[in-house]
Amino acid sequence: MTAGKSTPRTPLDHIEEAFLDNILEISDADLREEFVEEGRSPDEVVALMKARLAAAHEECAQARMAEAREGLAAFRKRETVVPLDFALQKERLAAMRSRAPAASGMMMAARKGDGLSERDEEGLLEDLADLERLSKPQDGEA
Amino acid sequence: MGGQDASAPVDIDGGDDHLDEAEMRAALASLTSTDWLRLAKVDARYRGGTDFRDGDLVQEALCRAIAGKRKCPRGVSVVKFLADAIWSIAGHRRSRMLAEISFEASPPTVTGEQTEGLAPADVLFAPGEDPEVILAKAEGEGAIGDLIGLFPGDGEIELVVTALSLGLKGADLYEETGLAPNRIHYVIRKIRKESDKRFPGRWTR
Repeated sequence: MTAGKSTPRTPLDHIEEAFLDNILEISDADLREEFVEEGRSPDEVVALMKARLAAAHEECAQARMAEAREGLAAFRKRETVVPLDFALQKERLAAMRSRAPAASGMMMAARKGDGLSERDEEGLLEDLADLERLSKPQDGEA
Repeated sequence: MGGQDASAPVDIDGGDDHLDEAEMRAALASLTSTDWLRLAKVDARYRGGTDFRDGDLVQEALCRAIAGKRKCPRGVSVVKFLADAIWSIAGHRRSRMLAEISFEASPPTVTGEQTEGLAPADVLFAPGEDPEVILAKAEGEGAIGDLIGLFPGDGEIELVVTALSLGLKGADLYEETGLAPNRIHYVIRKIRKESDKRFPGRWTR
């Protein structure tokens, strides 16, 4: 029935193991009788134990959530934060426009010829910065 | 600090030799009222000398089983596995408390020198005694003598306690004592119940 790696070391260990086996082997009626002798209701004890099972499930779920949060926080901490260089990205955008005016025209067409709004341009600049960040090798990469 | 601990922590993936998480959850969900009563009894026996409250040890053992920190070998009853885990967790807790106390300069006790029949937590505060010495004493022959002494003049009890202390079990135990299995179980239960009453927490490690 047992499959442990350790073996009893002292005579008292042997005796204690016999007591433990006895608890695991006595009949339901004898077990209930012992609780009644101690002034405890067996049914209440069972209810308490089942509540402990529910609490254990809850405790484990919370521990897993905490581990996941810690993992996420550690991952975010590892991310390289590259400050957005608006001046540099504006130069790159201007260069792109000069090389491909049609692309700029398409953007203007989409806005009924009104050209890029300030927010559109900021979005584009941020996209360019993201592209640059992704193209750089991360820590540990070749 | 269990004897044959079926609940030893497993560092590597247990694979097919141990129940996986889903199997453990299913096994726990199918425990009967009798199983829960057994675990409550084990909890009560082993929390002596620790700061665990009623049911804490069961919850701790369940949590470790669910989280996979302790894995139940296939072929071992889940109740036996949890009982071993409870014994082990309580033993480690008791040892840790002993270690903490050993750094104190023999704090005085409210119970004075009279320590007979007290839980380890109380015994440990006997003035002037090293906790390790107290523990060794509790594990020694004196403790077994005290156990037999609970039933003065009862030769059957003495025979069974002596045979158990030698590690005999099953057929060897029946043969050595000349007692039938039912009688042996009755005697062991009698000693266990009496020791629970007279030495709460003392016979655990």
